[in-house]
Amino acid sequence: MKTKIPELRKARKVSQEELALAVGVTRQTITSIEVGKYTASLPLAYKIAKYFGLSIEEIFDFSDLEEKENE
Amino acid sequence: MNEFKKRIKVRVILGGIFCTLLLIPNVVLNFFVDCSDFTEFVMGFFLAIEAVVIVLMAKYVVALRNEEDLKKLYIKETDERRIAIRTQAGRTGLYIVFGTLIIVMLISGYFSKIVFFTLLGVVVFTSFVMLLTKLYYKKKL
Repeated sequence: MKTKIPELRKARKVSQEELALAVGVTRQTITSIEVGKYTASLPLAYKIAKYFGLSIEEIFDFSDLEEKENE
Repeated sequence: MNEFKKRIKVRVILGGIFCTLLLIPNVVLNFFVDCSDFTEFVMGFFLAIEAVVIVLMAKYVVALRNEEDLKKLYIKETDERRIAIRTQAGRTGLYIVFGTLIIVMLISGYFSKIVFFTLLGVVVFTSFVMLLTKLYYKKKL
């Protein structure tokens, strides 16, 4: 799943480590989410969205999921 | 975090009890039984397990003394990706072990009755445990 986390982090000058610590996961988890290897759970997505002050849909791109459903 | 702190303290206490209990057979073997190569091997095995437990206990004690280390340990233990990896690896590993056991059991049937029935026992026990855990999690989740 694609996310806007790298862009948001860069814009706010937040490191992966800082974000990870704020949302209670390891830095490796943030890396995996950013590169699309791992999909965050709903509670983690909520925490990340809350950290950036945005909604979950504004950070995570669900278009892949919708495309799969339409197939 | 307090709940986690309590959990870590319990682990340290249990580790201490485990190490003490594990020392008893080692002392008995060392002083009251004539040591053969095998008993020495068993003693070495016990000591290796104790060493691992002691290292873990030391890690927990250090974390208990420092809030930052405790938070790092908490994050490490509750990280959802790590939990997912552990679950996935455990499941895959179990299926590989189970499949291998069945294949080896079938092959061993041509050579040795004892090995065949021992492996059959292990397969039946593993299946039983797998079934029970599946039923437990079906109810729990």
